[in-house]
Amino acid sequence: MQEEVVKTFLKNFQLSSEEMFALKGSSRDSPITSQFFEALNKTQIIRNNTKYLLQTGHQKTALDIMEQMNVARESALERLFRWFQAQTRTPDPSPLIPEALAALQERPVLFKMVIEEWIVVRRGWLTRGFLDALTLGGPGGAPKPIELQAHDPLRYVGDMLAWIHQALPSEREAAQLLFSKCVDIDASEQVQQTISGVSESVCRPLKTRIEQVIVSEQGKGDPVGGKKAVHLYKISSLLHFYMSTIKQVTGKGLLVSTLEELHQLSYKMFISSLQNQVTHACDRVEPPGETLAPSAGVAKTLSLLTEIVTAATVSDDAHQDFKQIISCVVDPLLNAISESGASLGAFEGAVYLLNCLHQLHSTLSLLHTSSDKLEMIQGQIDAQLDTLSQEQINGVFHALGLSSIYPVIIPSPPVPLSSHPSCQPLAIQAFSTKLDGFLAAPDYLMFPHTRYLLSSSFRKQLHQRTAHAIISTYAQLHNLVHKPENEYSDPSSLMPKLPDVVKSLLL
Amino acid sequence: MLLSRSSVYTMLQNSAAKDRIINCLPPPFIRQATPYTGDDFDEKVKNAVNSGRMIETGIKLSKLIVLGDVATGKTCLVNRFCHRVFDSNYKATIGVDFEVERFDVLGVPFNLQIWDTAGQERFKCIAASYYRGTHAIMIVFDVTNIVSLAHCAQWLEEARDANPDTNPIIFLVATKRDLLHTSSSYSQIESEARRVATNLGAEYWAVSSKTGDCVEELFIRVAALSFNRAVHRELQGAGKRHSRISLPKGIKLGIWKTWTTVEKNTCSHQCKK
Ligand SMILES: Nc1nc2c(ncn2[C@@H]2O[C@H](COP(=O)(O)OP(=O)(O)OP(=O)(O)O)[C@@H](O)[C@H]2O)c(=O)[nH]1
Ligand SMILES: [Mg+2]
Repeated sequence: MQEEVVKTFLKNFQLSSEEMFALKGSSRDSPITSQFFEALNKTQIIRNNTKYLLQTGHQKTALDIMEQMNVARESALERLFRWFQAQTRTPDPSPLIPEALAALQERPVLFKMVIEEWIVVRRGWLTRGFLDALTLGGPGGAPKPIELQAHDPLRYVGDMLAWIHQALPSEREAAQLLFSKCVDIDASEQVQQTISGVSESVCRPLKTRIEQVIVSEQGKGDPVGGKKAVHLYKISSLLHFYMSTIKQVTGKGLLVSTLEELHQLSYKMFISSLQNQVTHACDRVEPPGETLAPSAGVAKTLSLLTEIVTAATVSDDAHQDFKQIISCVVDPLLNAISESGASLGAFEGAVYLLNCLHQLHSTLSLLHTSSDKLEMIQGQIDAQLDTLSQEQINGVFHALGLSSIYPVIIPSPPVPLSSHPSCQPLAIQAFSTKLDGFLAAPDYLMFPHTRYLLSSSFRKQLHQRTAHAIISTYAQLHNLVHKPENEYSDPSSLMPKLPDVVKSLLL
Repeated sequence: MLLSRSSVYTMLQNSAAKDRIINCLPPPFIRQATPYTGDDFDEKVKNAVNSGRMIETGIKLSKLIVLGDVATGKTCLVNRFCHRVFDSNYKATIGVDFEVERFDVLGVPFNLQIWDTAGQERFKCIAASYYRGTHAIMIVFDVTNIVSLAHCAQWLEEARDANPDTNPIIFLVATKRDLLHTSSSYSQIESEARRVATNLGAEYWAVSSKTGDCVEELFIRVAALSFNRAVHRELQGAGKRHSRISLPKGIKLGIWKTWTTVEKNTCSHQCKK
């Protein structure tokens, strides 16, 4: 009986010698085993059990046992901590690591320290792996070192970023295992922070290399024919793409902010290089030749724009950039165009401008992105067409002898009209004859320069506006001439054609 | 219905799920349509595994990239295998996506990293960077779209350009098999596809992600052949580059190794001899 009681007491309030051994290990550096965790758990159970001793008045015994357990636990956790630290440094740590980390949660300082250690060690591996991939390549040199691609900046930057992205799943997996036994913490948050911490290590080598690419790309000569701006833009959208991709794995962190910084830098360099390139290209916008066609410089500048906008392929919110990019190209180009046409006469000038605007408009509408600028250009087109048609209507009215008649009959013609000097029967007769000539060859309506208009729709619009002006004036005059109070003796021989006939002949 | 398993859950398991345990080399889709004609794992590989002489630390890992034209069904194929789902709504892949699948091959833990690339032209420059150092390539075409088959050679060429000195395992996979109802329309495509596969040096498969037809078999085969290749490569490289090979190298950073020796299960995939 006595023996039984002692046995039960010992079982509930003391560690067995095996358990003590498991906690202490045979030497300072002996490995942790799964028995360790059982014994560690036992100390907690015993600590809980002491409350029965307290309840039954065995105060002193309870406190003694409590103290014993605390001491045992303390030194066990110390040992666990040292072991864990050593484990993090081997590439092949013990499977008990998750359990060990969970046990260390009780000591926040140690817990933090081992995670830090874990991150530091893996950082070293990651950097080493990254530098190997850059300079040595895979085992036996296959795949080839990434730095061999350095002559192709886009490929080089892309390969580096893809390498890092591909290293993250393994880091995530390792971190998920690490925290898998921890309780009462937001494991996904911890995992993210850990990957983010580990990935910090590649920031420096990555940053120096990408900065170098950006700067050397920016420094390249040959601004006119070169692809400098396009390259920089591609690099910048690649960086943006990876920033958002990697952010999904690591959350915010140094790597993400480094990528953001590099993205900003490359974008800034891109804009300044674009401005340079556009300035050079615009210098080549020369005054037009006889045909009033835009010089090659215009097409060249526009093809630069197209190339850039269509290069913005990988980033889904590139549209935000487009507004700035388009202004960067279109505004200086419009200036250059109007300067290059400055020496032309009003009519040729308008034709030339329309030709240039037409080219701009068709380029921009193919890009599907630029409604503001497109509206602005459409506005300029409308204004130029107004000017041009007004010029042409004036010219045609002059040629038809209508320029003196027209102001008389609009808005309130005198009565009788036939006695007004400009509208005597002879004048009307002369107009009719000239009009017949025009009707026989309606192309005469158009000024010679209008045949240089590159847009057939513009030509058509001009023709229509002119024709409508003639038709409505003819109808008005026809009506007046046929009114008895205007005292024309033989109206139908003066104006033999009905307005509808004129209309059908002209349109 | 089987539950879809998240990749986290998969990784935290001490051994692979039952249907991810491979103890014998699964057969090809068609015996005559593969360059990988071995009936079983290489002797050397089996010996190394049986003697416990696994050289590298960390879980073994192979990288598979999935390539092919837009909307040929790459993402659906990966999702069918990894999550057992099928979505008939098309959502274009942006850049690349990845999944990790855990296997036990001959009792050795093995991870297959699956990189699902975007078929859209605009992402080509990104996808190309993922071709580097890949161990297996799956080129996907849509059985209802002969043009997508015609493009396969070009996809492979680009992937090979990025791996001039390595020798990845190649699969040509026909998807959407469920859409061809008559066997004559399918066999016409098949003979053309097998001709392409022979030219490319690829193993031919036809699957449906919608019905799940042959999807498991395909990936199990990919995993088994990749494992065989990985161990083989390791055995060859062991002598030469011992110091480096035991160190984590980039995407193969050592997670930790096999927890305990995985018990040998009975073959979950019938060995067809
Ligand atoms: N009937 C049928 N439809 C399928 C099958 N596989 C894919 N689809 C459909 O094909 C379309 C494209 O599938 P995805 O897997 O997204 O195509 P993808 O190759 O990943 O496309 P990208 O990411 O743009 O390169 C979707 O609408 C799918 O529902 C299949 O086996 N059968
Ligand atoms: Mg996809």
